[in-house]
Order: sequence, then C-alpha cells, then structure tokens
Amino acid sequence: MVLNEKENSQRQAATQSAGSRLRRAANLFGLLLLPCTLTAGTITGVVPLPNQKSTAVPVQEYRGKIKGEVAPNPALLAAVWLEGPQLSAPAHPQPRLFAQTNYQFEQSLLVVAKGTTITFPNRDPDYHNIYSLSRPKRFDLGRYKPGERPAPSVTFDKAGFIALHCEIHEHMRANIVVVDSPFYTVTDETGRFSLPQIPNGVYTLMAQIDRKTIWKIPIEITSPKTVAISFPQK
Amino acid sequence: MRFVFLCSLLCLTKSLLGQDFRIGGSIEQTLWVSEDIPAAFLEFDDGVLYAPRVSLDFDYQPSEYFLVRGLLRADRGFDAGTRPDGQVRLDQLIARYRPFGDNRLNIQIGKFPTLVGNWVQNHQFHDDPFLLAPLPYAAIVGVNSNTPLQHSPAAIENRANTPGPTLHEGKTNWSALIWGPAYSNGLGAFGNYGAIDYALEVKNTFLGSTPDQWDFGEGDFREPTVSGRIGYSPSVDWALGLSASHGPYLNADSPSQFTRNAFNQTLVGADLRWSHRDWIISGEAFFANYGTLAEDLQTFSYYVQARYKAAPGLWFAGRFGQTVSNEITGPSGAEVPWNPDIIRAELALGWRITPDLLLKTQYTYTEVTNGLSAPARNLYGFSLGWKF
Repeated sequence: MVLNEKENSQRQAATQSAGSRLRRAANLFGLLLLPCTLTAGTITGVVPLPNQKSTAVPVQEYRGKIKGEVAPNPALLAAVWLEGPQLSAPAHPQPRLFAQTNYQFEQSLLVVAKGTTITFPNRDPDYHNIYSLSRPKRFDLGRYKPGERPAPSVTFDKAGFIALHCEIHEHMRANIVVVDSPFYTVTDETGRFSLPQIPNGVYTLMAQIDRKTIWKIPIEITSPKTVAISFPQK
Repeated sequence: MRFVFLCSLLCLTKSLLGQDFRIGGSIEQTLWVSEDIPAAFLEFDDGVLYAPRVSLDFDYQPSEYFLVRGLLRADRGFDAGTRPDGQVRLDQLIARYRPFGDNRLNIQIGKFPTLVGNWVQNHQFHDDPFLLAPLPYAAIVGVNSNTPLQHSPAAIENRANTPGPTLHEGKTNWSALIWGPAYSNGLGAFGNYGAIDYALEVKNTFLGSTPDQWDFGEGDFREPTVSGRIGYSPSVDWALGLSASHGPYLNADSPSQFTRNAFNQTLVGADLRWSHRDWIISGEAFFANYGTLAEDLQTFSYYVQARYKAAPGLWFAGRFGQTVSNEITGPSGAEVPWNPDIIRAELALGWRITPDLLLKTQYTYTEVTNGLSAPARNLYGFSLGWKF
C-alpha cells in the first residue's frame, strides 16, 4: 500500500511533471501561435452606398480638349478603416498608382495609409491636370502627358479626406482617404467590405463616402471570429 | 422674373428627364475701375462699372448620338453696362448629332460660339486666366455694319481730320474683328481624326457683328458667313490651327441701298498653343480684309499670352496684343488711317480658393497710337466667380 502510495505519489509527481512539461510546451506552442490568434479576427459588413443610376456620358464644351471617348463615371465606393490609440500607419507603406483612363479616374475612391506615395499616370491621348485644394494635401500636378516618365507623384503625409479634380476635364472627380492605420480597405460597388487579421482589441470602425458622409462605430475584437457590421443608412 | 421663370422651367424639365438632363451654372461678380471709358467697353459708369452675371447651362444627352445644350444668362448686357437695368439672354442653344457616336463628326444647329480660333474654346470664366477677351476679340474696328458710306475715302478722311477722337464715340455703330465669342446662329460641324481636328460653320452674320445681330431671326442665310478652322496637334504639348471666314459685314436690316454681298469681311487667322506642367503659352493672329466702295480696308491683329501656375490654385498671366491697319488715300491725296492702331498689355492674377470659387484680378494698359480713338489707358478688374 505504501509502495502503492509511493508509486501513486511518484506517478502523480510524474504526471504533474509531465503535465507541467505539457503546459510549458503548450504555453510555448501557444506563444508561437499567439500572433496567429491575435490576427484572426475579421470584420465584414456593408456600407449603404447612395443609389447611382447609369448616367449619360458627361459632355460639356470640350471641343479641342478630348480626342477619345469619355467613360461613364466610376462606381461610388466607400473607405473603411480601423482607428485606435495603438494603431498607426506602417512606416513604409507600399506606393500606389491612381491612373486616369478614358477621361476618368480608374476608380472613384482610393484608401491609403499615411505616408503613401501615389503616382498618377495619364493613359489618355490628351493632357490631364490633377489637383487638390483639400487641407490635408494641396497639390497641383500641372499638365502632364500620356506616358510621361516619371509620371507625377505625391506623398500623402497627413491623414484626411482629399478631393481630386482635373483642371481641364471638369467632370473628372475622385477622392483619396488617407488613414493613420494599418487596417483599411475599400468597399466593392455594393458596399461590401472585409477587414481580415484584426488583433484583439478595442477600436473605432470608420467608413466614409464623401467629405460629409462618415460613420464611426465602436467595436471590440475578442476572438478569432468574424464580426459582421452593417452601417446604418444616413 | 423672366429668369426665375426660366430657372423653374429648367428644374421641372430636370425632374421629368432625370439624370440625363444636367443643370449647372455660375455666379460672377465683377467690378471694373477706370478713369474713363476703356477700349473694350461700350458703356462705363463714372469710374466704376459693376457687372454681375448669373449663368445657367444645361444639357440633355439621352445617348452618345444626341445632345441638346443651352446657356442662359442674366446680367447687365452681353457687353457689361449696355443694359443697366438687366437682361436675360439665351447665349447658346444647340442640338448636336454625332452620327458615329464618337468625336469624328459632330453636327450642330442653333446658337453657338464661333469655331474659329483657339480662344473661344477656353473663354468661360473658370477657363480663361483673364477677365477681358483678347484684343482681336474685344477692340472696335472702324467698319460700320449699317452703311458702307462710312468707309468712303471722304468719310474716312473727314474722321481722321476731325479734331478729337471720333471712333471713340458711338461704339455700337462699329464692329469688331471678331466680337468674341460670336454667339450667332447657324449650322456647324466639327470633329477630329487623330492629330487633326476640323470645324466648319455657316452662320447668319459675320464674325465681327454686334450681339444684337446674333439672335434667332436676325441676319440672312441667303448671304451667310462661312467660317472654318483646321487644327493639327503633333503632340499633346502643341496645338496649331488655321482659320478663315468670309461673309457680308453689313447687317441684313441695315437701311442701305447696297447689296450686302458686295461688302465682305474676309478673315484668315493662325493660332498656336503650347503647354506643359505649370505653363500655358498661346497666341493668335488675324488678318482681315473689308471690301468697300473704294480701297479695301485691311487690319492685322495679334496677341500672345502666358499663364504660369505658381502654387496650387494660384496663377499669374500676362498678355500683349497689337492691332495695325492700312491707310487709304483720301480725296485730298493724303494717306489717312481708318482704324485705331492699338497696343494693349495685360497682367492678371487668379486664385482658385476652392475648386468652384475663383478670384481673378486684371490690369490692362491700352494705347491708341494713331489718334483715331482715345480710350482710357488704365483699366482694373476684380471678379469673384462661383460655379455650381
């Protein structure tokens, strides 16, 4: 019995020791898994975009200013991003292109991290002159040719909403949303979005369509699950 | 009231036709300051002329083949100050058909600006760095549209020898080389094939006619004015063009015993434009010949202008223009001038406060070198324009 007790205690000790090792191993494994666990949350949802009917090709007094055909206005999109005290834009964000084709910007809205350099290539047979008078970034690229090397570029070093215009072709409009966050995306044409790999934490989920239409929703990510958000109609 | 009624009508049309019917517009508040009546003006108040203007433009484009476009304005006259109590005017109304659905051929009928030259393409408030039209489009020339008797050698010599300037008075009796942008009515066609663009118009009245001759029902299409331009753009930086126009300069309703088609304005012109990044440099030159009862009257007018963008939304511009003309032999045997020889220099500054709000200022110095006219030399203009 004593032996048995001893054996038991030895077994228990061995078991505890094994359990401890297992826990240590598990903790170690957990540590290895930690980054995956923290980035497992996903936010999906819908931003209610205003109805955009198919409109006529915008034609104004463009005699001598347009050699090709004008494409319809690009579909409306919304910017979606996370804000939080612990979040900031990556130190060296990837450069981006924002081309003009068929006398339109290639999309109506672009979201970039603060510090991103955007190049504006002209893919039309006429000049474009892209400019912005928005406070976060005032710039004027002047008249630049199709295929001009280097294509003009601008570094957006301050977060905010930037409205783009073409001095020559008044119908050309687009927006850039510059965010101080590593987690951002743009919706599709139906307003749907997905922000994957969000670490656990408390954030503000932001969405923006134009200068005035902005949503802010507090959100907490606690588990590697998908959180569905629907922004209310404005 | 008329303007409000027409605005309401446009809004009703918009609600019926939906997004294919587009309405835009602008409001411009302009103040001119000069010690006397300047060269480019028909009327001027005491030292200051306030020239507000509200413009409404609308277009309806149900497909890529068809467009209706109009421009409605309320102001104090097409030439500021000529209608001090206000005027509502339809400056443009066209129906345009594009048989191929692209830019190769556009055919339009209605009331529209001339297709001659390269300034008219950029004459709207938010496109033009200046407040005044260039010299060939703005200065009065000594050609009377009511009677050719004013161009007889005796009449010309009499004017030249009359003490004090004479053409300076009664400007509405005289014409311009091109009364820019010449919103007369007629039929036009334009388009482009690669680097070549073309334009042709047949209109009711000649390029230098006064605005009261532009309306529907004015002029006479039995003796129309035919004008055209051919353009070539070897690269996007450069655009060159040659223009020509021919038509009677007498008004169709002028109380004249003479046949109109014996008295023609024949005009040829060349234009050039270069632009890249912050610079736009352009110029035009026109030569016009006027058939008269005696010697032909000939005049040459040109301008060169440059705009430099110094900062986002801020630009500076300068322009120099000159008009010189031949002299004719008077009854006394002396060579006498028939048209004011003019030198004009202009400086302008533009500040685009927002994409839709633009502040423009301009200083103009004008000098008539042969004494036929005595306009004020110094003119200052300040204008704030908002488009919506």
